[in-house]
Amino acid sequence: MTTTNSSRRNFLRSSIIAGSSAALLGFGSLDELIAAGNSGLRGLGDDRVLVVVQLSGGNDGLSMVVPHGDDAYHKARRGTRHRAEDVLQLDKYIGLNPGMKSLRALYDGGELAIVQGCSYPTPNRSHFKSMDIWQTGDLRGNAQPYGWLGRFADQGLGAAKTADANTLVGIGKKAERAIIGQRVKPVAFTTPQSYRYVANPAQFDTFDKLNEVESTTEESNLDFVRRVSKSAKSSSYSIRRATSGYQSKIDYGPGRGLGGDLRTAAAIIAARLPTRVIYCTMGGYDSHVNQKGRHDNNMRQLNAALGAFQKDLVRMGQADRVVTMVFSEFGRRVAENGSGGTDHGVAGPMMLLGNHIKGGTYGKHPSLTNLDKGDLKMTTDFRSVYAALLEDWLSTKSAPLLGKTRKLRKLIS
Amino acid sequence: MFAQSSRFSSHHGLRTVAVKWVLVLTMTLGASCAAMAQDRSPLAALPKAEWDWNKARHLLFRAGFGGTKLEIDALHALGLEGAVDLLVDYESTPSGPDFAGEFPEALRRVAMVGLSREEIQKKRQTLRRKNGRLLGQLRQWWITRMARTKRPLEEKLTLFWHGHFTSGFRDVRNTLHMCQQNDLLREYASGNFAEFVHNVAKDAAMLEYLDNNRNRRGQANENFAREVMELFTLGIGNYSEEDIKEAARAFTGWTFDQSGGFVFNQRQHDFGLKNFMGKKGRLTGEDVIDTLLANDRTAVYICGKLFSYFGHRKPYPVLVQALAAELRTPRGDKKQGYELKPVLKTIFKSRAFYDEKSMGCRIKSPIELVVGAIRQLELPADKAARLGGAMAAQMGQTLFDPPNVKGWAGGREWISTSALYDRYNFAGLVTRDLSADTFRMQTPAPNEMSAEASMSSGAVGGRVRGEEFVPTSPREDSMEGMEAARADGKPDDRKARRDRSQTFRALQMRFPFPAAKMVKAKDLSQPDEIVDVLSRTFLAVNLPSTSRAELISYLNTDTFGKSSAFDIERWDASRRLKGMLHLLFSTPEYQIN
Repeated sequence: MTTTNSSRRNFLRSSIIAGSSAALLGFGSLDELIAAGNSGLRGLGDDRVLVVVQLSGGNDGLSMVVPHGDDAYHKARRGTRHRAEDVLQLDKYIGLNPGMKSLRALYDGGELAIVQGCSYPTPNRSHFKSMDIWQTGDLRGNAQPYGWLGRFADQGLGAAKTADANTLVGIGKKAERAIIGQRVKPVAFTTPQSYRYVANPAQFDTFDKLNEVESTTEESNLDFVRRVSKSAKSSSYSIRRATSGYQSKIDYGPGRGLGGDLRTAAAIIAARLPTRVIYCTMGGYDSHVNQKGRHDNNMRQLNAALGAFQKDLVRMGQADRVVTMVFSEFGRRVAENGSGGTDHGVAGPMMLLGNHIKGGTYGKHPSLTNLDKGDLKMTTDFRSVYAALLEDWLSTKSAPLLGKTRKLRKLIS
Repeated sequence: MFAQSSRFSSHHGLRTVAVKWVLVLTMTLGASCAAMAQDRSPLAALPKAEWDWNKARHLLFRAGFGGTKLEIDALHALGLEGAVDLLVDYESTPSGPDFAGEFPEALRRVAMVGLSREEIQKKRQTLRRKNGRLLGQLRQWWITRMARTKRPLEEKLTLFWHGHFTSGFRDVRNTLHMCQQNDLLREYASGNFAEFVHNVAKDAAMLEYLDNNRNRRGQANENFAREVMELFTLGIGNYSEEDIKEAARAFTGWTFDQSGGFVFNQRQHDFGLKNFMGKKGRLTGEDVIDTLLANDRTAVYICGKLFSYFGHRKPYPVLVQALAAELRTPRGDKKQGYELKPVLKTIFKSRAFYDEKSMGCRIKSPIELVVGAIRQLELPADKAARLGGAMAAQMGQTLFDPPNVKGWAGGREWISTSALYDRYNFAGLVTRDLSADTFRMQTPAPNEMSAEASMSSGAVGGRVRGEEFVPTSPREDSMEGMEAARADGKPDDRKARRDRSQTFRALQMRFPFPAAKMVKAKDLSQPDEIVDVLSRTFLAVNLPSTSRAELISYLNTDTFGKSSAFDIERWDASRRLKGMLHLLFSTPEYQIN
């Protein structure tokens, strides 16, 4: 099932030989060529995909990756806790939420990594400020207008004028800042079918002609809009074609949320569109009140959606092309509040899954007794995970995007 | 000329000749230069003879939102001076309906004056409970006002300042404060910039947005101090980190009360000695602002931004310098200048504002697009505003919710493939060519809302639903918890119904657009003149001839695609016209102003 890293490199080599033998003449060796490719446009031209699942509202990490072996957990969480015997134990200390059987299987298969205690220096407990920091990978938050993945695409664009319109795909009502670059803009839609120009049948011919006016060579804003208009047509068409014909017997789980979005992601991946990033969100994590039932339900849905997605990718032989990252803007307070819920906290776990993810746990679980204003302290800077994804998965330099960041090593094989 | 003279003079044998030459050259050229200097000076006005209808249209697009043929005709008839004065001295024009009265009184601070303690308490509770819904109403109220006002520049400027002195509801979480800030931005929109800065620095929404209510003696929060310099006055790079630290100390204790009034909290203020930009002493926040206003960079920064907003994005530095000098000219009791109206007039009368770099070069912001369409089509503003607000949010601009402290970046940032289709689809809805049902049928979105973020802020329980922050009571929250926990996984009807949000309801807004009546009122009946007049009025750039032909032939086509001559009296005239306008608005050309 898992192809090795070297076979992927071989694939890359062969495609480069096939694709650009002329360019080859200028380079000394294939490795140089690959290195050159990694730093330039090929960063975007590569066929690996990063899927991001954002859990919005502040996921209670302690109920997802449960420290069942810690008395402090059972004491602090009288109302929301999971008993040790119910938890899907990964070791003597932690285990997964009882509803996460598929993820447990992936963990056992070495394809799920859990990075513990993720946050950043001087954590912010506001949803928006913290989300800005996570989405930009920049501690200045909303002073940085572009997202970390948008900047990745900008960097990969190099000297080229435009990237394919479907390079960055956001499934949702509007594009999250994470995938907005200065030059590379994401495409965003709630469903593929909604990404279209709506008109009466008799209007389409006229519409096409009105939008086929040639751009002049000058770079006016009008020319720019004309160019985008042309690429919108092909982009929307290829997205809808990819997804409308897509069939899968795999059950993406109950509900219409994340499962449906990941199914769309699978269709885009299967169609081999030049998409590098697909960004999904799942809401409902802000559990101030009566947390347990609601959060468990979220965990079941997340489990079903991610499990089905991974299974689907394997079925289609696409699993080697995809890594999925799951995060939330913060974890929740260790102590429960008075209404059966938990308030905004700090550190929480991230998950990464895929054939090329080296499974297991990374980082230390934060102490449940040595707290910062009642919250778990950071043990892993989330930017070290970003750095690993940028360097080892998206084949680009992380320093220009994140500053000097120590990357989490050996996460990706 | 100078290069030439130096070359001559370096030639030994010809030195004397050269000197004579230079003299002659200087005299002749000097004379003609003096004549031309009038024209070439960066702020030179557009010669009267060059004022034409297209330039009047350009002026209305930029100093407003574009409009009808009648409005452009009127501006054109006034001449350049008259047109600009009418737009800039807008106080002499009644703004139209009493906008203040339309908006929920409860939100305005004045409404709290003269009430008993209990009444104020009660009012605040109501406000807190209705916070999110009121924000939606405030948004709709503003768009309606932009679409209906007889003083378009007043609203255009308020929009400009909303992006300059930016605050966002996500951080402020108080509709009353956002509303008060909006009033302030309007009050000073074309007033005195120096007074403007002083007042903004004491505005509740701003102090909250930039965390100055957390700026205390010994625990400085530098956010506000930094942005006052970086974004409001000097521009980035014209101050040091030390300046920020010292300024932050001067602003300690600047905070606000719940009714939105400024509060100077002495106990939190750092009364110590400060050293700010060469000024030493027990400086206050006012001292810091005055120092910034005395700095020449401020006028340059503001004028550069103003010209970029109204004219084009790359003004020559000499032009900006000249505008800055104009801004700093003392007028009456304003010894340090900073009157905005003279600068605005200079911009709108300048040749630079009407050259080819300026005209037809900007990409409309979603709000400009939406408001412009409502004004051009003369639609019932309040209902269309609701649709417009929801669609503008989809296109990437939600009023009172800018993406970050810099406001909206604008320009090409607005355009991505999907955002462009959102704009084109707005065209179908606003022209009433598409019904909400057609629209929803073609763009099914079964999981429209379920994947959406569901967040609440720390202070007010609630959720962000699409663009809007909707507060919820704990009870409602917990019910949702129970609903979500239903084991059968069936989509819950109640939740789905509630989730159909603004966009859905906005789509359902019904308002009439009697297209044939509108066209007949302009004495138009022939397809070619209809397309010519409407495209000239509605577009800021020329419609390509191929597009013109396409639209005329569309008017001459029936529902079944068969050609049949357009007849303004026929039953299907309105339908054809709406279809044509839908198409005209779904073009790259319409995105430009």
